[in-house]
Amino acid sequence: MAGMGMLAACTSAQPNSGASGGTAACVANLQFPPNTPPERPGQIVSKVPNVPLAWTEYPKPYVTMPNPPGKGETVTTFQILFSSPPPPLESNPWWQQLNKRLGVTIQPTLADSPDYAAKLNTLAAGGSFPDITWINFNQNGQNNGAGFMKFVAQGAFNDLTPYLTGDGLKQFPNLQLLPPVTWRGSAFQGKIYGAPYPIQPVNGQLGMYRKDWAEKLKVDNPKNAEEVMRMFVAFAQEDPDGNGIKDTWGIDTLHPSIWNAMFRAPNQWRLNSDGSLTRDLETEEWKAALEFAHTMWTKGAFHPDALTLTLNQNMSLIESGKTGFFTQGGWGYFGSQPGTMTTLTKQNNPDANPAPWIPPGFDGGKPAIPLGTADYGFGAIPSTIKDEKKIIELLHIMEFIAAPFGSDEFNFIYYGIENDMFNWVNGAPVHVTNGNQNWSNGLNYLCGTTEINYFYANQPGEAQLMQQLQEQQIQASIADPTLGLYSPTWVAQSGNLIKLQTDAYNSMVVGNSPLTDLPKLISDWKSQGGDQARKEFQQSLDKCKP
Amino acid sequence: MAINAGAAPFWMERPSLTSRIVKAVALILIVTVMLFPFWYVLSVSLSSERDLLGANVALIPLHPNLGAYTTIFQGAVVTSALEVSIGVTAIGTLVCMLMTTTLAYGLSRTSQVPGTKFVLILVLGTLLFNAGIIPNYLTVRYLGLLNTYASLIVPGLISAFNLVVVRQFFMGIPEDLTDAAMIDGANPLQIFWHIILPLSKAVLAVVALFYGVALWSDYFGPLLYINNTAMWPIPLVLRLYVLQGQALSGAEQVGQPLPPAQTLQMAVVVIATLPILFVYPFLQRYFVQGVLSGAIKG
Repeated sequence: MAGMGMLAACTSAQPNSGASGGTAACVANLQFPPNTPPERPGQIVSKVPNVPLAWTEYPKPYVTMPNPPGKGETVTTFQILFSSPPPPLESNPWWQQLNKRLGVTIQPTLADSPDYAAKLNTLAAGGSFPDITWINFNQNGQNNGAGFMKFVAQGAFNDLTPYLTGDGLKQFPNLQLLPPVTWRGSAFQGKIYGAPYPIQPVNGQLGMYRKDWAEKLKVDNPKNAEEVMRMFVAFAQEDPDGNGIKDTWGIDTLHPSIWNAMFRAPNQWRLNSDGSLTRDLETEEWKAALEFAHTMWTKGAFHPDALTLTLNQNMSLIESGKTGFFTQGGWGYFGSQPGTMTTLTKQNNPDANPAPWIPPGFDGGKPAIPLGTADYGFGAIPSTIKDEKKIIELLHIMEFIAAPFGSDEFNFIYYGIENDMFNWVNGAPVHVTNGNQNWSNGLNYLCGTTEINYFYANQPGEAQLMQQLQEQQIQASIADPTLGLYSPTWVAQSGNLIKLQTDAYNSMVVGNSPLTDLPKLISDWKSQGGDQARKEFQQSLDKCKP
Repeated sequence: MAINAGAAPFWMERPSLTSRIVKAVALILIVTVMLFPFWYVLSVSLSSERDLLGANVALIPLHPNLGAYTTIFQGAVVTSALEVSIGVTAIGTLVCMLMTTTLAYGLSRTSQVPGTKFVLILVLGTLLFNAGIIPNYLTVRYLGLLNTYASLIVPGLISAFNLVVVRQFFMGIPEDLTDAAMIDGANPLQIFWHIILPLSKAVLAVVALFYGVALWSDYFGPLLYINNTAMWPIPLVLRLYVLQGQALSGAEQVGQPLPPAQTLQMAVVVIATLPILFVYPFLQRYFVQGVLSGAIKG
C-alpha cells in the first residue's frame, strides 16, 4: 500500500517499534504496580474486583501535576469527535488554557466518529501519524473493521511496554492509577502501545427500559426468555402509551449481545475443557439467541428500521416514547441531571419511569454477560519518534489528561473553566447553560478517567446504584479467552469475518435469509480465515499458559 | 387519398383539449414528485416538537417555528462552514474558469499553437485514468497543500470534461473574427477577452455552474486534506449532523431542550442547499444554450 513504508528501526535500548511478525508476549505476564487510589471522602471501593469507584460526594480539588509537562513546542494529536467541533484556538479560551497548562501548543486533527477510520487510514497512507494518535480497534462496533491492527503490527507505533508497565509506570503516577484490567484489555499482542481510555469492564450491556409500561401491561420483572419476549412484544402490540394508536415498539435495534447474554452464548470464543476454541456462532447457545431474536422480529417487537437506526435516532425514539428499551456504552444516560436521556424521556412523557434492566438467563438462571476490554482505544506514539525524552514528555501529557477524579486537572479537562463552563453547586461541579461546553469537544477525549468514576451531582444514591449494577454484571460476566492473544490471520481478517457474521445475523433475524443458512455461515466463516485464526489463537494460548 | 398541399403539418396543429389536459396532468404529477422531497424537508425544518412527536408533520406545518434555524445560527459551526464553502466555491470557480478557458483557447487554435494535440491527449488521459485516493493525497501533501483551502481547489483546477466542452465551443467560433481582430492590431489576450469570451457566455455559464456545484458539494476532499475543524466546509458539517445525527454545539444549552434533532437536520439541509438554488435561476437562460453548444451544426 503506497505510503505505508513506516517501519522504524528497532534497537534494544529504544522503545521497541514491534516490527512486523515480531514476537508476541503474553498479556498475563504484564505486571503493573499497585493502583490503589488514595482514600478520599465519599469514595466507595467495591468489594468486587475491577468495578469502578463510586462517589457520594465530590472530592475537594487537589493538584497532581503542579508543573506543565511540555517543553513549549507544538504537539500534534489525532483524536475522535463525538459531537460538533470546538471553536478554533483563537476564539477558544479552554484550548488556550489547555496549552498553557500542558506547556505545549496542541495542534489536533479531529475526525468525526463516522469518518474516523477513513481519516486514520489517510494518515497511514501519508506515512506520518501525529505525535499522539488515538487508536481504537473497535470503533463503531466493528472490531478491526478499519484494519488498524495492521499498522500496529507493522511497527507504526512504539512499543511502550517498558514505560507503561512495572517500574516504568511509576514515573507516571496518574497513569499508574488506571486499572490493570484496562491496561491488559488495551494490550495488543501482549504489549502496551499507548495510554488507554478506561471504561467500565462490562459496557454497553445495561439496558434502560420503560418500567411504567411493563407495570401497566403487567409484564414487569421478566424472569426468563419467554417473559422477556412477552414484555417487549407487549410494548409493541398492546398500546402501552394508551393513545389508541399502534405507534410504539419494544426495542430499537437488534442488540444481539443482550440475547446472547440471556442464552449464555460465548463471549466471542469459548475455551473448551480440552483447550480447544469454539467460535460463538458455532455454538447451540448462539443459535438459540438468534432464533429468539428472529421470533421477536416476527412478532413486531423490534422497530422496523432496526438495521439502520443510528444512536441518536435510538435516543430520540425512547425520549419521545416510541420505544421501550435503550442501551449504549457508559452510564451517562441514567441520572436525573438536565439533558440525560432519563430526564428527557420523563420531560416528554410525564408518566415515564425509565429504569435499569439486566436480562435474566433464558431459563431463569443468571445470564452470561460479555466482559469487555475495559478500554476504548489508546493514545499511541508513532515509531518515527525515537527520542526517549520526547516519548516521556508525550506520556506526561497523556498523564495530565488521565488525572484522577476530582483533581484540579480532571476538573479542567472534563468540566472546563470555572464560571464560563461550570459552577460549584453544593460542592459538585455542574455545567452552566451557556453552550460553552463545546470549547473542549474532542480535545479532551484521549485517556481520561471520567467513565470509571460513578458520580451524579446532587443525586443521592445514584452512583451507588450504578456501581451495584456493574457489580451484578461483572459477577455474571464471561471473558473472551482470546483477549490479548496473537493471531496474524485475525489481525488481517477479523474485519471481514465480523462483517460476515454480523451481516448474516442481521439477515437471518429480519427474515431476509432463512435460519437454515446458519451452517453455511459457519462454513464460510471457517473457510475465510476463521479456522486459521482459531489455530493461531490456540498456539498462542499454549504459549501463554500460566 | 390525395394530400392536401395547403394543410399545416400535424405538429403545428392546435392540440385538442384532451391532449392538453393529459399533458397538464402529467406535468403536474412530475413536478409534484420532484418538489415533494424538498417541500417535506422544508416542512420538517419548520415543525415543532409536538408535531414530530405526534407524527403530525404536514406539508404545511401545523405549528411552524424558526427554532431550528435560530439554534443553528446561534452556534458558530454552521455559520463558519457556510463562510468557508461560499469562499472556496466563489474563488475556486473563478480560478478554475480562468485556467480552463485559457487552456481551452490555446488548445482550440491547433494551427497556431504547436503541441496542442499532445497536451490534449495528456488532458484526456485524466478522463480515462485516475491515480486513486492515496497518490492524490500524497501529491497534495508533497505540494504542501495539506490543511489549506488551496487543497480544496487545486486538485480539481481543470476538469478534463469541462475543458473539452469549452474547447469545442471555442473551435466553433469562426477564425475570420479573430483574424480580423488581429489585422486591427489586437493581441491574443485582447482577442480572448474582447471577442472569444463575450461570444461564449452560454458555455461559460454552464461550466461555471458545473465547477461551482462540484466545489460546493465536495465532501471527500475536505475529509482527506483538511485537519483543522475550523476550516470544514458545509458538506462535512452536513454529514456530521444529518447522516450521523451528531448533536449541535455552540447552541447546546445544557438543561434546556434543543429543537428536535430531525428539525435541526432538515434545517441544515435547507441551509446547505439554498445558496446553489439561489444561483441557478440567474444562469438558467444560459443553461440549455450551453449544454447544446456544438450539438447542432450550421
